[in-house]
Amino acid sequence: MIQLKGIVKEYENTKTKEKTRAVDGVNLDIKKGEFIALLGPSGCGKTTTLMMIAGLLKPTEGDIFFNDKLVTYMEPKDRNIGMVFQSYAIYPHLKVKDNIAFPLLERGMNKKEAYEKSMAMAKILQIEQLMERKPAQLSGGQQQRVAIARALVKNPDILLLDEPMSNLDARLKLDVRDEIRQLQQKIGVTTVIVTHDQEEAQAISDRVAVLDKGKIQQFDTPYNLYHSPRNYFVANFLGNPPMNFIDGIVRVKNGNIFFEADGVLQMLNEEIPSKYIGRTLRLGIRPHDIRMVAYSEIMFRIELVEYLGQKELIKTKSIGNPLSIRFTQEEKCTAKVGDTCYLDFDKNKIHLFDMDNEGININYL
Amino acid sequence: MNKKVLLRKSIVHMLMTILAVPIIFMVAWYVLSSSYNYSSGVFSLKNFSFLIEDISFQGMTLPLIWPIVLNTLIYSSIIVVVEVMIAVPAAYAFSRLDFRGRKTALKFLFIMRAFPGVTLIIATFLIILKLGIINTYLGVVLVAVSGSLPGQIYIMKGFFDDVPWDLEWAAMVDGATRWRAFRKVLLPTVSSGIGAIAVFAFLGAYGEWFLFKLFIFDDTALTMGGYLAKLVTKENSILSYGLITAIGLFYTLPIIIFYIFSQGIFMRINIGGTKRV
Repeated sequence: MIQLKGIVKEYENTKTKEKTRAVDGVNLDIKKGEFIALLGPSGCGKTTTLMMIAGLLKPTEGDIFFNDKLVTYMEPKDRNIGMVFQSYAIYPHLKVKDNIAFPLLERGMNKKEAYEKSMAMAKILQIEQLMERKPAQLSGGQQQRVAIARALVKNPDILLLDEPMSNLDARLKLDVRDEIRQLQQKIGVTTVIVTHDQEEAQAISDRVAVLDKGKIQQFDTPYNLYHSPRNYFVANFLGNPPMNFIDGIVRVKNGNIFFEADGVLQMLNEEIPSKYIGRTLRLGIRPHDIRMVAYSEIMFRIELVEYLGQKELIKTKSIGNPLSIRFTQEEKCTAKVGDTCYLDFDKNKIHLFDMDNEGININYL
Repeated sequence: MNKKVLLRKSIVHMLMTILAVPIIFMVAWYVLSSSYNYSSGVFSLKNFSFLIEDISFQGMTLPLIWPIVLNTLIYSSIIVVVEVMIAVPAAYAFSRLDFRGRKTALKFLFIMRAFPGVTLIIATFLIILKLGIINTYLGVVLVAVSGSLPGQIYIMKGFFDDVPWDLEWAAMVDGATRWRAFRKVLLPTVSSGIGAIAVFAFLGAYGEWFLFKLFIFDDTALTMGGYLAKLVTKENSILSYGLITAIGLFYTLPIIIFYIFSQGIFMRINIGGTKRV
């Protein structure tokens, strides 16, 4: 449905003539009816990518296809896309009904039909009682519904959402998220959402493209992103509380493979390629894959115990070096701050990243 | 606590009253002089006879006022239309387009806005003379517009800057060309700004007298401002204050009425007018 091939967007600093790449060789293949999230920290190029799909920006290099048709240089108005902006961008001088009908009237549809269609769309979004109001009289949530109605009323091939939920409060966000997802499944429109909120991206989309420095780090289902991150960036970016990382060396002792760092000695799976024996790698382990045990080679001191509702987050610090590890456990913690404890990592959940090779997860090689 | 506030308030109000007294006195004197003869102590509306007939005074005849009023309206309308037609697209370009020399032009605008135009007046006069448009409205309009445009563009640019890009983009995604997005979405959004510069243009034109004194030699082509200026400064002779204040009152009245009805717009100018360089 949507294909991005080698998309590059370059900006030139007018003074220094220095060129920076906001988007640096992005390839994406989005299927019809899919819900895709572009996720990344600010400045990673996700909004720029969305703008190029919309046609509001032209790529410096590369091509964009909709249904195998080249659209790279097509004007936004000819692309049949619906877009919801972060600010909602509702036309302030028009009533709600005129806002929703705007795209239809711009296409030259007759007024009667346009307003009938707008009313039908407003009913789906439950804003039909607001049709006579001016945008200034609407709440944030209502404005967003108007924006969504306006984007969908023209029956677009593609729906683009630019951080649509960042201006809503936390509770409303959850409801709106579900609603957008349900609406999208009902209509079946191919959707691309830009967000910096990992939870939102994972909850709402079929697949997530994680971007950093203008490049796609991984494009996969939320499950795979979380459980088998392709590289250190993805592992570090996703998950709350975040993954723990320890730099250390892989060694063989008595026929077993161990990971060794200051104050840490952990047995690993046997599947480590032999070329990594003796090399420095970065070990990653999620907080819920760590257990407290009676005895192990990983001794830490408890620094902080946080109560998170159904579980507890415990922050521990290594004795004698600055390394600290966070882990969660579900039962009530009997240990107190200042106690020493022994930790065991679930060896099937350990990720190893080769920091000399762009932080790639060695399972991906 | 309450007493303190009361005390502070009464001090402030007293100060404001004292400061306002001279202004109130001036206005009162001005209004009174038009109909009250201080030396004889008689009230009369004789000074307002200029509304119905030509006035001869100390051997000088002034043309009837109504053609002058018409001139004023024509001249002011021309100025408003010309300035808005130029300032709005120019401000859009400065706000939205990335063209070569944009920053330099903006700096130049800023300087021009504060430039004392009087210093150029002899050169301007010569240019207008050489162009053969002396004693024509075209000459006056050209000089007046080029003088006030930098400020107008600047104010208008502030209004465009306040409109997020999203709004234009949304219109473009919704099927509009850039021109239609400008006309259907952007222009209505900055309508209060357009209103503001139109008001400024009108007030500027309505109050213009200097350029008329300079470039217009034909008394029947004067506007109200020029007419009054001629009256006040003619051959350094002292004219009847009664007559001057009566005409002055007639000249001021529309502006006062206008201010009362357009206060809202002026409040918004203060908010939106002078943002960002």
